[in-house]
Amino acid sequence: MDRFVAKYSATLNHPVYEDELLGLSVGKWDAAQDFALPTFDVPAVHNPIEFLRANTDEQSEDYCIKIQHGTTTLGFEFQGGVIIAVDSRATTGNYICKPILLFRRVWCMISSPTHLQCVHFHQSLFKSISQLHRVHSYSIFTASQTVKKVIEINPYLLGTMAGGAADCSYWERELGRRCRLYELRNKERISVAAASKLLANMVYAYRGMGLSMVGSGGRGTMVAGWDKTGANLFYVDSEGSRFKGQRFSVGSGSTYAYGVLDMGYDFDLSILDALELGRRSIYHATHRDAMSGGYVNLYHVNEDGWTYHGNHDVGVLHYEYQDLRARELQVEV
Amino acid sequence: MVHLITRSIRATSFACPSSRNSTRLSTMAMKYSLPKSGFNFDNVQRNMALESKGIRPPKATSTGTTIVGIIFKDGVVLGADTRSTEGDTVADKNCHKIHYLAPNMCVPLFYAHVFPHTQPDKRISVYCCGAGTAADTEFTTSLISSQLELHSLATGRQPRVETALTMLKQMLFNRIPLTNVHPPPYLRYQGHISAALILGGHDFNGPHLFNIHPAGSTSKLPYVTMGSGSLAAMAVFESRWTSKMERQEAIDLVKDAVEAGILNDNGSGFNVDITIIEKDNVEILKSYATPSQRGVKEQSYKFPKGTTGIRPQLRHGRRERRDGHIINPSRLFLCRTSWMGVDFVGVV
Amino acid sequence: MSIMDYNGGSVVAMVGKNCVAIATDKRLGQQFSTISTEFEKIFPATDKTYLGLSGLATDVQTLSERFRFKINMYKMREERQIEPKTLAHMVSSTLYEKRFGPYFVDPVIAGLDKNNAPFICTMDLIGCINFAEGFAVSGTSGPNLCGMCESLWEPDLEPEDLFETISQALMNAVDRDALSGWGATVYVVTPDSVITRTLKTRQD
Repeated sequence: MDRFVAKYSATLNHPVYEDELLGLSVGKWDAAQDFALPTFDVPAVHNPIEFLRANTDEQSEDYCIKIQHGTTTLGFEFQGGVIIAVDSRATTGNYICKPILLFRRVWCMISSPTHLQCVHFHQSLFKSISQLHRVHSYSIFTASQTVKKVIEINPYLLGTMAGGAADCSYWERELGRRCRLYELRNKERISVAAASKLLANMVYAYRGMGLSMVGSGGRGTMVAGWDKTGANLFYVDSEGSRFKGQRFSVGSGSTYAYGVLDMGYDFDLSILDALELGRRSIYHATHRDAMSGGYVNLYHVNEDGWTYHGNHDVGVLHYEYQDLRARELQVEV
Repeated sequence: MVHLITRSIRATSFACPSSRNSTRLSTMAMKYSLPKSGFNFDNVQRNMALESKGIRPPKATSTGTTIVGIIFKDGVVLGADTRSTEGDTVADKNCHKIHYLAPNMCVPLFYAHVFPHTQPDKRISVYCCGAGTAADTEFTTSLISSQLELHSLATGRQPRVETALTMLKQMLFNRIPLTNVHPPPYLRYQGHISAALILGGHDFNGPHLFNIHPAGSTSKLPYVTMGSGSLAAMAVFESRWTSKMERQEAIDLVKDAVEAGILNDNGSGFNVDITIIEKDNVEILKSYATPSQRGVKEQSYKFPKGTTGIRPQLRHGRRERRDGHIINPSRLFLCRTSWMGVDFVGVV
Repeated sequence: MSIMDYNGGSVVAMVGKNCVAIATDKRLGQQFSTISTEFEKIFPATDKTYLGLSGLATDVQTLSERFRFKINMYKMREERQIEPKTLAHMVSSTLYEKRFGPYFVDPVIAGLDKNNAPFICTMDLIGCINFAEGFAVSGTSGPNLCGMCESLWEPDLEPEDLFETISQALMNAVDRDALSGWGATVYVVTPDSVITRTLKTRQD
């Protein structure tokens, strides 16, 4: 483009910004600032809450900040711990986005360069609890076309996202950082109750400003994990709600998932049956709900932390379940 | 909203509209054999109700356009681009924006015999370029075209370009019919029919060129442009148009004006269509210039046979009814649940 | 959400060598909830002409019945089957009659005329005909289908090749559209026969 335009003019344009940029690459690290609560600029208007609500509410005329949404997530406690199952579709408007995750983070905290200091601690912890095999197991699934709606906060904590992907992943990453700091300060793992409360308090500060983790619109997050009290499951949203419970399903397809989940639920389920119940619930939700689909991602949490139980293409699952049903019917006849 | 839609789906599947529209066959046959002319406003109430529930009505195809016309020594040259758009999407890459209004050719012998007043040598050609809502330009011009035909049959003369102009502007502004349409409509469209037109033609008074706005205002000019690319096209005319141009000169100027619209206006694009109307001759040059041709696909995306997975024909698939009419199984479902309380049998 | 997106659904038509194909998905939804997966939007007009109607389901059904009536009346009056181009103009004027209170449908017409020449066209909701050359699309997957067809379609495809091309275009377009999918049906019209196939698609 420059060359094309240069043909028509006698003077040359030299880019000048190289010198200016040099000065910026030398960073300063301020511990106090980096461990403080994250702060966001809010719009410089008379009433930022009103302004943001108008821009992020789909029903509003000024709606312009379009957020990826539409999900089915579920979690339930049973005798063997907690099951978390989610779909993998993200839609903007009606359009289905399926970004390929090129690299899944080993630890969410490593992501920011200013947190490099933490990496060292993590690696040592990592080895000490001898979970190295899990890191390898992540990479197996990296090639699949999935939106990752389960956020691995640490080896004992999982978060799910229903609603704005950016909001959920940002705040849960921040939660992961805090959980780690808690661990370093107190020399023990944070409880699920405390972790979920940290998250609730953080997002409550921005209540009403259009964070897309709002419970009422089928959005919200679940925090599940294992601590010294055993398995725990919490529901948190950006309206400030935080509930402890045995069964939750969140997202646009949650009603469908609840139907199957409540039907098949029993506290004494075996681990395999529980995983199948989670998978089946999500599959049925993806079938009826246009905004859910893709793959079912399955997790199981017990006293050793969480284990990933693979992603299951619902396009294939549908015909498997159909064949299963056909066989059952034949047996009856 | 949900209730409203459900109710109307039921209404159609039962085929029993409100008592106001009787379903007796005789009434229906009457209604269809003697169709009422003009617009029908049956759906207006329903659509307003939908809109009040916050559901937006969709936009019709519009021709973001460059249309131009000039007068030269012996006639008129009309030009147009060929893009039609639906929102940001190109709906048609090679559409026709120059519409026929009246013929230049000899009047067929049959009519010449019935109407001895008709003088085959007094020829007229009126063509029209349209911009605005595509359906409006299409139907407005074809409506006026048929009225012009009727008019010339009734009077035994060829209509003048002025006549077409008057018909168009009255249709758009006030719709006082020139022909004997029953009932006499005094509907005031006044811009609701969104047709912006350039009208060009040749009659015994010589070449004429007009533009007509959707509300019905008109002007008579030696060179005109309309549509979203009109500024680019007018710049070409303003700098290069001269009086009493030669034929080829005029064609080139029109081509350049439309190309300016195609290249500089996002709403216009693809090819240049040109129509030249002279005393005894109309020449239609479709795709006279193609300034923005698409690259050629060098290889094929043909799939090997058997790529697509097929399901065996469904048990609950299409069914023949006794009268041979194929009905939709999902309607069967609706009927069954509401009439007989039978469970849903569709395969999901 | 636009009223055209309320029930979801898409139709696509393509021209081949002495044949045409028209295909639809089978979803009927209420906004984001899927109600039926057996809702077809393509109706036979004659042996060799099909009419596809996507848009608001209530209008799809109302209009399919109105056109069935009109096509039968035409057949009785004229003692011949309606030509696809004539059908296009019939549909167009029926829709334009409701210019100021339209039916919310996007029709697609595909067929072979009396000389077995392929004809396809599409229309907007007030009846502006677009005589497409290679392919015609409508419905909630319209933009996706446009992209698929622009790249996959080529002239002079034989019936079986046309089937693969239209099926792949439709399946891949609706996979990226939340409001269409849940099965698909393809009709390939050739001078001697009509190939009708139901596709195995994703159900989410």
